[in-house]
Amino acid sequence: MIGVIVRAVPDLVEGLEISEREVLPYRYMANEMDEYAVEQAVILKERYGFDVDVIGLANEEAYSEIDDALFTAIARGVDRAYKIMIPKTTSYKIARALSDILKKYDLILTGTIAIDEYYGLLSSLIAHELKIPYIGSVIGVEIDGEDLIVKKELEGGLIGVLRLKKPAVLGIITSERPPRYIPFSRLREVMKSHEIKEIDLSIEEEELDVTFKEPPEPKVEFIEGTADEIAEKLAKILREMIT
Amino acid sequence: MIMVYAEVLNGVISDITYEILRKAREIADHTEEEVVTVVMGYNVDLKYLGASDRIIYVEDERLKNFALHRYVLEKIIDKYSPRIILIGNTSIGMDLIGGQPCIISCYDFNDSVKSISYGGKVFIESKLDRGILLINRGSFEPLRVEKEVKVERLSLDELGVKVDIELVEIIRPEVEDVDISKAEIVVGVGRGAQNIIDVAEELAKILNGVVGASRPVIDQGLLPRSRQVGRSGKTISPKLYLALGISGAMEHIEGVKAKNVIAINKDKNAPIFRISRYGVVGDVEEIVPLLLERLRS
Amino acid sequence: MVVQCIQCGVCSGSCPYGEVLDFTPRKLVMLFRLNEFEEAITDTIWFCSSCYLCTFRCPSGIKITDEVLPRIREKALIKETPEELARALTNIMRYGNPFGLPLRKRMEWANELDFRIDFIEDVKETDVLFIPGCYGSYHSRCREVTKTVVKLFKILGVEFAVMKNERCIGDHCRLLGEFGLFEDLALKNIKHMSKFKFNRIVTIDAHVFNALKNEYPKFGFYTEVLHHSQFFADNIDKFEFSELDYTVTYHDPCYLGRRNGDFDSCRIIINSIPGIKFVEMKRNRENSLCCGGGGGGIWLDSIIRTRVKERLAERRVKEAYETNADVLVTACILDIPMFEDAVKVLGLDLRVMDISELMMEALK
Repeated sequence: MIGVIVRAVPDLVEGLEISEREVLPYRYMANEMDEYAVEQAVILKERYGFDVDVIGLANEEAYSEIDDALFTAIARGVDRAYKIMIPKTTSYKIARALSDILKKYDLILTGTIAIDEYYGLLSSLIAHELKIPYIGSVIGVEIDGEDLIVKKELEGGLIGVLRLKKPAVLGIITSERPPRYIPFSRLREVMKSHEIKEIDLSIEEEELDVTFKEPPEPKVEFIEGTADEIAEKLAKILREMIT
Repeated sequence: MIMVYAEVLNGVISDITYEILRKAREIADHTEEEVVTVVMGYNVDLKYLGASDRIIYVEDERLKNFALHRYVLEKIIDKYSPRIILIGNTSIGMDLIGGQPCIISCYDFNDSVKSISYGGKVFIESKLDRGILLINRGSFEPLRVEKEVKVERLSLDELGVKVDIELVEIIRPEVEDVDISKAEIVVGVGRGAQNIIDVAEELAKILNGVVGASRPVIDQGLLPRSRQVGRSGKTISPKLYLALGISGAMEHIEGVKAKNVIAINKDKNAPIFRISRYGVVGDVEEIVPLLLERLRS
Repeated sequence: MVVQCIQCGVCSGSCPYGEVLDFTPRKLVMLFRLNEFEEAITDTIWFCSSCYLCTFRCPSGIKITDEVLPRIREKALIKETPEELARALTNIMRYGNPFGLPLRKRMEWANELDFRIDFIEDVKETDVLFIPGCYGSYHSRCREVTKTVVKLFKILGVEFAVMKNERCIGDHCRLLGEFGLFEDLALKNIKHMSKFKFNRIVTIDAHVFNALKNEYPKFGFYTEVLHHSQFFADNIDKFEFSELDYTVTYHDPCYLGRRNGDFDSCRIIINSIPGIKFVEMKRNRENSLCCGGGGGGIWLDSIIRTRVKERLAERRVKEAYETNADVLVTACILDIPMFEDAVKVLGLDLRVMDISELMMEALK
């Protein structure tokens, strides 16, 4: 059995309201790498016949918005969908709270990182709590008998191929194929015929002592002068930028 | 103690280790702590780790497999209780954090830790009393020091790490052509620069980057399809995108997620300037050769 | 309806992509009739740019463009959607535009004007509701046309407003077989527009024009819909044009001309500008050659160019160039990026202008 974790994260296209103590999104969406994890899980189901569950994690504001992503996962081929409400807390507490319900899975897939993570990596922490192996930055998965053959993206375009035993947690970066498109009417169909089961989990709250701020706003600076002068200034800028 | 994890790939210590060492050295000199660099691998050349006070070397053929490092590091952290552990924010680095408190994507740290999140849209300042900092590449200048440093050797077997993960192989994918989507520096050739593609390629070479192009240039067969940047081509996310004679049409911009864009275009209203850090309104055919000359000297 | 097909092959012979298709329109109609079109779902099912030439010429009145192709594509979407297209549709579903840009940036073009314009959400009532569409709002080149049209409105003293909360009108989604998405967009747009009072809608996008005129009434939305060329042609006497020394040719947009029967509005406008020498392309009026952008074509270049040596837009632009025209005038907003790209690729000395831009230049 495969369990995939999909997190509701801020929709960066719609924007963020950033104040010193908090970051407020206008809208939420599924974490992109988690969607790749769903696709990878469905690919494994098609290849080897696994059963796949998707578990959605969302805070109170995103609790209904995550439904779209979970129904889409079912439309893509996932068998069952669950969702859990997350309080204001850290990935460490979430991993601890999830460990009981995740024990039943041979393979747990999720995105290597969520776009709003800054303290700990949930993917790695889940493996730590369950005391099972973790491989992150995964771009491909195959099964060979009892073994998992995992392709891990390294720097410089290199790929590491690793062999390990289930159960394991894999942090996905991208799936072997882009997530399949689900036509609107198909999504509506799935919404009518399927249910998302809510799991009531008691998760310890934790607030971190951090401050937020916006990055400095870049404005285009025009470089002027004769062709020679411009070339000189550009050369200087380039040298600074690439070192 | 400030512990630095040396990232080793194919027996060579990666640049990021030396970048981290510079900052570690700076902090340690201030706080009067020890900088201890941990190296796991086989036949690794420790020559340039001189900025460390001490090196802990776990040498074993089995440690060519970076998937085991997570467990070795755990044992070492238990044994030595460092205050801060510095690791590169890389594919290998991110796998190491285990259950340690950890701040990811850091670009600086002193009394407080500065990191980036939300797709680069939010800067965060936090405090970490004990734990791991994952440091972004390019945050500091590398510090390579050739100096004899005390090396403490540990045995993998003694550390008691028994994990059944095998590194089967490291594949270097066939390079029929460069993958521009992974490049740090891209020189983009648009219609306005298509007569100087060879100059653009020289420029890319000197900058250690690759040449990409907009669709009209690709369509004319001047560069292979794999170099196309844009909606129906590749998405690039380099540190620097040098857009030469590129107007910045939507179809092209959709494939550009660069940290910095420098654009040269005849048209002062070219949309490319809306996403540029620096702009030059001028003739690429005139300016780029002069720029190349300057960079060569 | 499809039972009337006599398999004459006029559709296949007319199709601009005829030579490269795995299954020509004639074969698609046959398979559709037998309800056995699974095998027809190959890469080339995505090539149709919905140009309407087949439907227009069909002696049996088969709705090839509006029914057969979209129904087959509906199944193709489930089987395998090309990535570039999937991204555009997902963006439309989520953000109301194919670019994946937020709603709050849809009206940014209005900030580039040196006068204020009304938003229907604020004024509630107006004479003309002006709909630029997604390309007219977000695309950097296309919004120049939007701004030009608004300036022409001002010259005429038209009372108009735009919608802040405009979503994709959806004609391409419909033609691509995404009926569910089209219906959702239509219902949402209709619900929003029904809150306000206006006498007519004017749009610069021929596909927006088509959807609002012919498809939205099926959801109970009735209003007068005009293409901007029609609006300006109706008001042509109110303009005082100065001389323009151009040789001009005109591309009949598929969804203004062939689909909706208007070949004259732009010709009236062009011929009322003194000094212009007007030349026709070989294929004009109902025989106009599609720019290739419709029916999702603008999001399918990655797949089309694997089989096609010369894009439709490139063919068309060559035809324009052969007339020795200085300017290729067009009236559907999608034509502009399609033709300007083609001109760049071919390196031709040919200017592409929207009819409104030609008018504006004659008013300076």
